[in-house]
Amino acid sequence: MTAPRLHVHKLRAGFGGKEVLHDLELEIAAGTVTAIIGPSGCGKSTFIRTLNRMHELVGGAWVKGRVLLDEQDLYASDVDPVLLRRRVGMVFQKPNPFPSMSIRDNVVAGLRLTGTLSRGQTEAIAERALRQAALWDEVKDRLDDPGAALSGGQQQRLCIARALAVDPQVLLMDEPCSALDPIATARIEDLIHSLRGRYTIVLVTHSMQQAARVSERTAFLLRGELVEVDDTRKIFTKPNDRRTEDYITGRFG
Amino acid sequence: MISAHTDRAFEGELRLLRERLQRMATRADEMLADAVRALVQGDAELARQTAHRDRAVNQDEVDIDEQCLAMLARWQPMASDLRLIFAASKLASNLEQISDLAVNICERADELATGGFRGPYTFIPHMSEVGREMLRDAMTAFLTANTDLAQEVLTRDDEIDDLHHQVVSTQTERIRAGDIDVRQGIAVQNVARFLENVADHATAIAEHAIFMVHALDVRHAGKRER
Ligand SMILES: Nc1ncnc2c1ncn2[C@@H]1O[C@H](COP(=O)(O)OP(=O)(O)O)[C@@H](O)[C@H]1O
Ligand SMILES: [Mg+2]
Repeated sequence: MTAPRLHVHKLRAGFGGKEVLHDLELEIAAGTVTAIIGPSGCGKSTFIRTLNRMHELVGGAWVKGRVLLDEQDLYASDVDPVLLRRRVGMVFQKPNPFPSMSIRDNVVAGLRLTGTLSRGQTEAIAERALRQAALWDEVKDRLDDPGAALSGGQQQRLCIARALAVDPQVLLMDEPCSALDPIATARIEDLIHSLRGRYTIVLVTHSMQQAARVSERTAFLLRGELVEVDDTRKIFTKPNDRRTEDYITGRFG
Repeated sequence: MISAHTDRAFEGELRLLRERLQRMATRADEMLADAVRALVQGDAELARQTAHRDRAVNQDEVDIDEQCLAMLARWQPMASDLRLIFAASKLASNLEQISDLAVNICERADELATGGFRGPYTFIPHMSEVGREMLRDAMTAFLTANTDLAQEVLTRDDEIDDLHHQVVSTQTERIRAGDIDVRQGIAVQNVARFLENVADHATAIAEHAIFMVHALDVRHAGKRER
């Protein structure tokens, strides 16, 4: 399957009486990496979670507007959110492997939830996903070790492998490197470069430098509003909006 | 003006960078003034002393580049900060080359004074005034992010070109008439060319100011487009 484009139209979201995202309009081209930047609490996590319908899992959470994956509206009544989350995978801030589950089982954990596969098929899928996540060489001789035996950076790549194992089209990452050291971060960024094109990637990051390094488009979110979306190179050398300029140069009140 | 940076240490380094650029520009400008004064007054001693001052300007360039590099590494600046630091390093190179041109003028001044040449240096003092004014305005434009002033500097390039041609034709005429020695006439023409080059650097600094403010590279745009 090829990477889809995403179209966010008049998107509002919130918790109970509180609106967190206000009327967002965003077009994400197929197979690109888009970075979402903005101060803490501006709604980055809320936004990215509306893209695979994880937001609604929180009690009282609501969404209005549309998110189109190619032509399909994610919020149409005939969409099964569980199946949708296989097409739109998610990687979180803190690596969250099942600690006592083996490395191999961690990778195929998402597959187990649906359908039945032979041992051979599972092995093949695990290897492919681990290779894609650039982790295979480091773990191929200890696939039965528990997930907790890996370093933080390896655990994060394990989580990426787990997301890739179900063969998604979109990969969402919410500050995937915030708990990692610079080398582990560089590995993840290198991985993102290698996944570009095959997947449409949306990356939330609080590191401007990371956004500048890995994305081709950057969106600046401020208090639930999309202030500016542009080519990353443009955003970091000459943003259009004064608020973007103030934020990325650290002139923020 | 842009509001202050949240990190005051970074703000302090930016201020230091601006101060260094200003100090360097003042040094280069004063060298230029003294070089032309030495020439016009036939003061070989002043010419030699002035030429030695380019060491301080060279050192300024090294210091500024070092600071720019350290700031890029330390702060990984973005947007207008990034453009300022990028442009500052280029600007320092323009100033260094202006001081080299002042040295060239000093050498001609020394040579002409020692050879007993006493002018007249028609148009040269005027050229120097215009060139220095362009330099000072370009620096002000850069340090205060004033693009109107920068544009104004760009329009004065023609004035300098005209003056240059006038010096060349005046000296050629004097050589032809047998009023002055060929080599001395050529030395004066060289000085005019050096001053024209000074104006080119002032223009480049004005272009850095425009780039810094608008992220617009006007260097190779035709005069009309900019
Ligand atoms: N479960 C929740 N219930 C109520 N409010 C929430 C919840 N989660 C987040 N919020 C609020 O939504 C806003 C956006 O939060 P979030 O999307 O996590 O921002 P970011 O990821 O940019 O730091 C914040 O004001 C936050 O307090
Ligand atoms: Mg968040």
